[in-house]
Amino acid sequence: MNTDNYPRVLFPEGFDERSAFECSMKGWLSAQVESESGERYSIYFSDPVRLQQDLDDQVRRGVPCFAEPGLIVLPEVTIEAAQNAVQFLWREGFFKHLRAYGGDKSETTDGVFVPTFIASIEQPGVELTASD
Amino acid sequence: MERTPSLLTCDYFIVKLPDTSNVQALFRGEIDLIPRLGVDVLIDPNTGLLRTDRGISLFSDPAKVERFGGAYRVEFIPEGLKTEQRGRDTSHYELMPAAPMTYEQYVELLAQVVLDLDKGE
Repeated sequence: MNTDNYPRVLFPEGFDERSAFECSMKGWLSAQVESESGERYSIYFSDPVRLQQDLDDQVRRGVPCFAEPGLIVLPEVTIEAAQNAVQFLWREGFFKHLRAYGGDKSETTDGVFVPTFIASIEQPGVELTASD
Repeated sequence: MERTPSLLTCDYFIVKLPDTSNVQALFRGEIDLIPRLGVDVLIDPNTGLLRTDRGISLFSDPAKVERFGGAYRVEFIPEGLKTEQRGRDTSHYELMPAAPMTYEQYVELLAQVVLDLDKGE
């Protein structure tokens, strides 16, 4: 598995074949993008159906919108689609407009635990590195 | 008079099984009910608590999860959790916190979920 191509998508630790299947069913995935220099960007993938459901949820609660840092909408949330989108958006300069942070693998924000992100999944057979 | 143990005289306990009549037929692909941060659940950074719009996946169609080790029917869901359909696939549901709670509280409630291990499809 080649994980040396940058930018690369980092998936939550423990992400495996079942996770890949389930995130497609769920329609969302929280991930990070890592540049060759080690900078990381938080991103969030959603498909249109889940996006609408999440928006409806928020509105029912009196929240006027649904937003996630680094939101990227895909027709379907799959590993391949996520990686292709990141490659495309990188070339388009999308990430220049996002705030990057260092490459600590266990990021903590104000005492709130957030997942560790990794470059590979725990079962063979699923290629994680985006194709050029 | 010496008491002789027998089936007629021995003490016994009645085990009351949870009422599952109001539980929709939902299936889990494996016995593991450990939520994964960033995959199953997200934490509200303002409160440090789990959001109530995310949860582990369940399916109304057992065929969807058989390849992950079997399809185990959910027999009991404790108070504090809720199931809602989410995603493009109408057979996909999520078992979510009913109210904001810590990750550890969610794990504790998931530990009370009863799966029918004998009815793996």
